[in-house]
Amino acid sequence: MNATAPIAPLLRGLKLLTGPLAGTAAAPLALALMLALGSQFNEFPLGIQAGIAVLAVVWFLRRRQETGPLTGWRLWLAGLACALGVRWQYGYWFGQEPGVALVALLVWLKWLETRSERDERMVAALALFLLTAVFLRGQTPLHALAVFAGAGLVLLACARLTLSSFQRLPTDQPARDAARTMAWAIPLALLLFVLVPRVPGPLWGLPADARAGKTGLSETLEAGSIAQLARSDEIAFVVEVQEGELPAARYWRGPVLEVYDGRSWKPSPWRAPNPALEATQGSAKVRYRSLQEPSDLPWIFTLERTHALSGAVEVERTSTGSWRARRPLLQRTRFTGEARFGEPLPEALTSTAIRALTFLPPQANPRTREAGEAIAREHLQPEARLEAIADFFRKRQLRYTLTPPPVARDSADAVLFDTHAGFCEHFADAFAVMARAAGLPARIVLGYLGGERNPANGTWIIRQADAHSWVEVWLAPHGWVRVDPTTFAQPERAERGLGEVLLEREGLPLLLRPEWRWAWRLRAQLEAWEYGWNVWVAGFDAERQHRLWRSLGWRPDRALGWALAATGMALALAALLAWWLQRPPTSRDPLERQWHRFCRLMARRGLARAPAEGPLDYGRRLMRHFPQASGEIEALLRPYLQARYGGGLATEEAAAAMRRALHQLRRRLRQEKSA
Amino acid sequence: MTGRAVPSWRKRLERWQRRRAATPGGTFTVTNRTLYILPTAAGAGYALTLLVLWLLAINYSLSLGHALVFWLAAVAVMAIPATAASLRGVAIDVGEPEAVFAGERLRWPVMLRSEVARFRPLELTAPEAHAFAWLTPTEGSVRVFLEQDTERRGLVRLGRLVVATRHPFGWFRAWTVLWPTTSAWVYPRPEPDAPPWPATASLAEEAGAMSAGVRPGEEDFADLRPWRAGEPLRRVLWKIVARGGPRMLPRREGPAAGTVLLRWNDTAGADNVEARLSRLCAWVLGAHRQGLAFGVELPDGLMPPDRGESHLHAVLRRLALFPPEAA
Repeated sequence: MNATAPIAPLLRGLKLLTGPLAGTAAAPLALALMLALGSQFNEFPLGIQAGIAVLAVVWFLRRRQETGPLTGWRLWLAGLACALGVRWQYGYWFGQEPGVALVALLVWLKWLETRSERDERMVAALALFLLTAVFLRGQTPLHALAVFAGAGLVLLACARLTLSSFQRLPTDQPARDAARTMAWAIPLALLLFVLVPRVPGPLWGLPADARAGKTGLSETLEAGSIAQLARSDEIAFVVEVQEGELPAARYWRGPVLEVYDGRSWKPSPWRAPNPALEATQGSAKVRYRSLQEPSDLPWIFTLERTHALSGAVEVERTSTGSWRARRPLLQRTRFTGEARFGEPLPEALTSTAIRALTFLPPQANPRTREAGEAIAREHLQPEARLEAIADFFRKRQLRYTLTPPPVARDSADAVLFDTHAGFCEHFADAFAVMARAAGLPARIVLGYLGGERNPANGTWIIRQADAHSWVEVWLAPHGWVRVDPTTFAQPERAERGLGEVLLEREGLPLLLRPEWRWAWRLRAQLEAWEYGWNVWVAGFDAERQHRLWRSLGWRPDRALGWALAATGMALALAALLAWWLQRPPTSRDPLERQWHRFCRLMARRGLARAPAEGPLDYGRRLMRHFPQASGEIEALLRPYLQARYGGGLATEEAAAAMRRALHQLRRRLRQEKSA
Repeated sequence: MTGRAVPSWRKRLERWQRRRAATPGGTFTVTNRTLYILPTAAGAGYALTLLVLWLLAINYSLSLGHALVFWLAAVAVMAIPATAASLRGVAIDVGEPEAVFAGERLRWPVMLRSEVARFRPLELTAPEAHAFAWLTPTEGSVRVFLEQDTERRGLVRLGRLVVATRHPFGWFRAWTVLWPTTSAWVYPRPEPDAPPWPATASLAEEAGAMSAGVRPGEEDFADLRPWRAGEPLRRVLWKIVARGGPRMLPRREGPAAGTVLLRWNDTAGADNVEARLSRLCAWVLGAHRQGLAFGVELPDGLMPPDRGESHLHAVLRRLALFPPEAA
């Protein structure tokens, strides 16, 4: 009693607050809606948030005071206001976001006008929809916990609704039965999860406003765009090495930017096939799997020189050697890749391509262009020119910082001649401009550099803070050579993390700072678990399902039929299991067990034993009904009575006699029936 | 029957159900033979909801959405045996209700027992009667009353009794059908303001002022009996107590000095058979109330005069079973 003492006033207060709502179906349903909407509340715009809050409070007050259902023009007006509010907040009608917001508002209106059990069941269905919509925002264990708890509450509400016509019902009994059924459903649900063949989505295409809801690398480069990202320690992707070893300098390539307009770099829309890419070179081979977090772009970040890639979505290799999917990667996606590195990326450039890749807008960055052109005049060989530019950069004594002084325009000039400070995008931009001025085809690569090994499960975690940009320069006989201008400012960056090489740590995520190692280790363990969850639960897709089937020995081409058959068997098994669980409890006592078998046999013939009827009375009644079988009935009753009420017969012996008699009786009754 | 045609498949279904519901003993116990189960409208709605959620999960490749939908579907699958188990093993006994007059409500006592302890919310439906009852693990039996309006006199049966449950989620309805064999007496409706029976009804040797019964203030000791503890004091004749006597009550139920023979032919003033029976019924009740010995003469026989509850009920049953158009 002492343990419950502090909670008692709390419960009393809660009861005072909820008033007549306690014990009704509305209470768990309201809690489920709070879970569903609470898990995605900050995804709604302010107006929608306010609308939901107001409607919820109105609903609560009206229900609490047992005001009747809302009807007539007020309801219609409120509905119209909700629709217009959604249109005003989002600016368009149709899409995923306004759709969910509209349901989130209308569910309260529906509930305000609710009158019957059927209406409340409608609200329950809408609550289930809103709970599923939470998974559009994220599929972490926390989301799963909230949603499954909410769904359980909805089912509890259904159980209470079923009994709403009963008065003064004990409230805990339906809840207990509902909870038991929900628990029994778990094994079957697991089987269905593994066995029911996954249909690869999307079925009808995603709405235009589908978003990943995450910030990541964009596909253009402007001064400051990466430094912003370096402050985020969110995971970009996780890599699991299957074969070989990752190189010390782990460059993860994303989009390649070839178009420069004097301010920003963009990917080239020009996509010619590049047959040279097919030639794989290099001896060092790595096979890896990566799990990439959702983003609004289709780019897949792969280890440099990845020549083969596959995944749950369709992928293609661009002419620049980058990989992209057909559609934006709005879901967390898993890829398997193979890379061979050690040699330059081969490509034979036409003169048109060379002209395009050395193009600079005439007015921008005059000083850098002049320096580049001077180098071109001094050196004829491309290698010599490249070396001269590198020398130029080294001599500038550039400072690597997350917070460089702002530059307005001509950023390459500003970094090289005025501020001498910058982040990777500033150096890459300046280097590419100077290389182009020196007549070398150059482009910028966006991606990630490095990543750290998670000691808990051996995976490599690449974070947004590892975002990086570097330059590729085309050298006539070889092809594209990677140059990382950041190393001129900070030579260690290529092989070490940002936190270790930055001198000023201002603005860096806490966990990237070396003095926070203990927290880092804790987080590593959490992230290892999260990776397992993402791969096995949240990321369990058609591909992973097929792989699991294959490991169980099913051939994928026949797996569909197998899966259907297995699903049917699972359902049948579940029904059997349920049957077994629901049958009357059997006794451990062998005597009692035989007696129950006998009673059940008779009950099937419509002669159930009355609760107050003793074995003797029952036996007499049965003999009257089945005079032909009276001998068998007596043969069965006598050992039971003797063992039970002191006739000196051992239990085992009596049970065996009863079993024999039961067998005889069953045969006799069958004979009777056929006769 | 009524003008509405009953489809033949319904008749066939009912015959099939009757065959299965036939029990040799008195108590009807729900077994798998007599248990029927089908999804409800709420169940269909739930299935539709799950379909929509499944499509949502497929379209957005939501693995956890799949998990949620599969779990919800698995709960529905498990709800089928759970619903059936809520009804299976319930023993149903329909008792004999007290006799009523036509127009009153018959209260059929239904005894529900559960062989296996579990929570069973049950809904009982019979023609024009409806009741809710539940059994819990601790309360294994319960008695409820099915209240049925009566219109016609006679010996009636409850009719098709359906005991159903939708527990635990309401997506499935398990029910059983039985035709209880117990019957109830419905006596003719007594005529509200029946005229007094004709003077000729009072049998000659005892005719006199007594037919009017006990008049207040004129009691003598022959019509009194001693008061017994527990009887209402307000009926005690205080005049006698004031004179120093014992507490006495007027003897109303005791044999009155009078005999009447209520004749069918005396009810000729009423329009039809039912009205005549109503009048006879009212007379019989009046005579019984006054403590007279009464007999009834009907076209098909005579019930000799007698007194008492059992005689009253015998007469009323006779009236209840009077052939409708025998006159």
